[in-house]
Amino acid sequence: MNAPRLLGIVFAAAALAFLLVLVPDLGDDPFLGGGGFYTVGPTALPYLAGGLVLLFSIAVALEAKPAGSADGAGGGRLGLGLLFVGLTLAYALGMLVLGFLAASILFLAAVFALYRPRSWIVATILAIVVPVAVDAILRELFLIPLPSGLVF
Amino acid sequence: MDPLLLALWGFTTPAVFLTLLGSVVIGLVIGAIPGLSVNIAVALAVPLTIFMPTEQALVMLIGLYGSGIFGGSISAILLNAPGTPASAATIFDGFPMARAGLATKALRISLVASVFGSVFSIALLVMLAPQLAQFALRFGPVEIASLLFFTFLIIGVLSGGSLMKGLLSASIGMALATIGSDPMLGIPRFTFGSTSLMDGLTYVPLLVGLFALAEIIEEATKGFSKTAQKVELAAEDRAANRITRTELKMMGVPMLRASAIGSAIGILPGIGATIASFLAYADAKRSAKDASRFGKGDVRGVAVSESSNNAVVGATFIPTLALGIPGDAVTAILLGALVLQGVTPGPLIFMTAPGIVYTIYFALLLSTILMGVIGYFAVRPLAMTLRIPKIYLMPCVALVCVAGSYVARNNIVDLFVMIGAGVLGFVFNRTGVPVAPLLITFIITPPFEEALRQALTRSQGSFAPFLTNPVTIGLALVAILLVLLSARRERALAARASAEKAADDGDAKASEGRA
Repeated sequence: MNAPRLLGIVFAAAALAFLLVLVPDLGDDPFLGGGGFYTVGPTALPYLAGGLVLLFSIAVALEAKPAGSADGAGGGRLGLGLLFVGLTLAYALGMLVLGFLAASILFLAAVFALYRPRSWIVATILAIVVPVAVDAILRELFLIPLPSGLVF
Repeated sequence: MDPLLLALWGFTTPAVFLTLLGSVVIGLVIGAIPGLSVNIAVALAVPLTIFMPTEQALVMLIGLYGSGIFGGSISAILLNAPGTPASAATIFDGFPMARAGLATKALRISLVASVFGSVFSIALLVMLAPQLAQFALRFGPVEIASLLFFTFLIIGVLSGGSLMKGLLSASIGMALATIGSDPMLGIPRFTFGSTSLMDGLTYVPLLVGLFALAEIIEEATKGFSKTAQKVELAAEDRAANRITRTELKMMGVPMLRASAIGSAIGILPGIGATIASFLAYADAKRSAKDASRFGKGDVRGVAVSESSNNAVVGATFIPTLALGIPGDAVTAILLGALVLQGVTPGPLIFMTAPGIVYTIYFALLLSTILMGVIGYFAVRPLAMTLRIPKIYLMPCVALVCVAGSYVARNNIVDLFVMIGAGVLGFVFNRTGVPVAPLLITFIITPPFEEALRQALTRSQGSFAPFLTNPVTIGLALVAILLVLLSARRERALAARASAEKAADDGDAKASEGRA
């Protein structure tokens, strides 16, 4: 099965769950009401949107070309992409505990360690300078509060 | 003071002018680096603009937009890899010119054409947008709802290679826009008890994820390129790299046609500069008396591609300002940024905030002039940026993505929205589903729902006003026509592809038989 067909099937399943579980739940809310004068309540658009997603995802699944045909970009190793997503998730969570600066330095260090840069000197400089610069610009120039973390 | 003069006066303040200058330079650099598109540059700048005055914010985003598209031609010409998708057609003639030792000339032609296309579309914007807004002022909820639904269809139909994929992307944008409080009654929808989702999915992390993080994940799958590209312009023959009068004369009419094509494409929502440049290139090739040089280093090839993609920039602001409907992904981002600033684009903006409109006009014009000046003198330093290996660049951009998504609301939930959007954008890119319809529909869905429900409340639930309204009927006919034409084109392409495949299979079998 090729990627667009799989995408169509996944979105069709998600649209069915949305239409059969999530939207009716919204309609069952005792506080919803909506007033008798409203012929279209808050569930109308979700039903329309969910219906359209279902319709077009089925169409995408049906029209998808056979496996092996060129459809969309490709190449590379998916595992490396997933690894990066995992690192970014860990970075987002780590920000709460370690604070922006420490989490950012660790994130860059981890990415460089795993993906192997050409020069370790450049990587080390970047892993320290970029987080410090972004932190300084946001905190000092734009006066934006960044997470300080629970540890520091 | 008159709003026009006030807007012009705003550019004399150091903060605004320096922001424009800085954003043009950054736009040129980001546009030049393959993998970092204009969309990414503008998306990453939005979080910063939240903390700026409206004028400065607009100037920053517009500066990045205009110059970023020209920046894309630098790597297209020098490396055979477009910095932005809009410059893909520039490769056909730009790279052969560079291989023949005429890279500087190709870059200069690209600059001249970019400035020409930009100025053409800005003139069109100044002439057309107020007229269109004047017409749109007569619109009530029925017309607005119809127009926005028509936009939903048209961006789905015209935005990508596949009709169904475009429409699927637009539908997902509509579904995502239903998260948060209902616009009429304020009833929470799909918030799962989280107060962070009461305002809906935040716009900044969504667009940062869809455009920037998705591209970084794509690069991560390739292990982030570690090689530095070698670009050498100093050894070129200076005399051969000067643009001659004959060449300028030869490019004049094709550039005018390409700018008109780019502007027409820019006015239609959701199509964008990439398709404009390919269409203009095909048009120039078809209409040329001698088309034999196209694809081998013809100056007209570079000129038409670049003038058309830059002509999209000004033209996309016509529907954005006059109707509140973004012309492409970047104007969708700009529209969102304007809303964050408390300004709602649409026909009323010409009356309620004329200063903002004039600021946009001047920002477009001044950024084009600055792009021309900086681009001319900084071609060689800009080429140096191509030497930065992705392994150093991309992780640092990821850090900026995380910081930018967090600062919009100081809410950790936004980081998860950004990561989710990044994965979705990556999946879309891999499966050939266009991302722009999702973002545009996400932005136009709340006003669509509001107008639809207002119209139906007024008609006491009857759809009769939609069926009898001339605007609705006209738009429905156009939409049906476009869907039919698009379906026909797809069938023809599929038939041609299968015929070519059958011919290839036949050839392969014949050669096997001979062997």
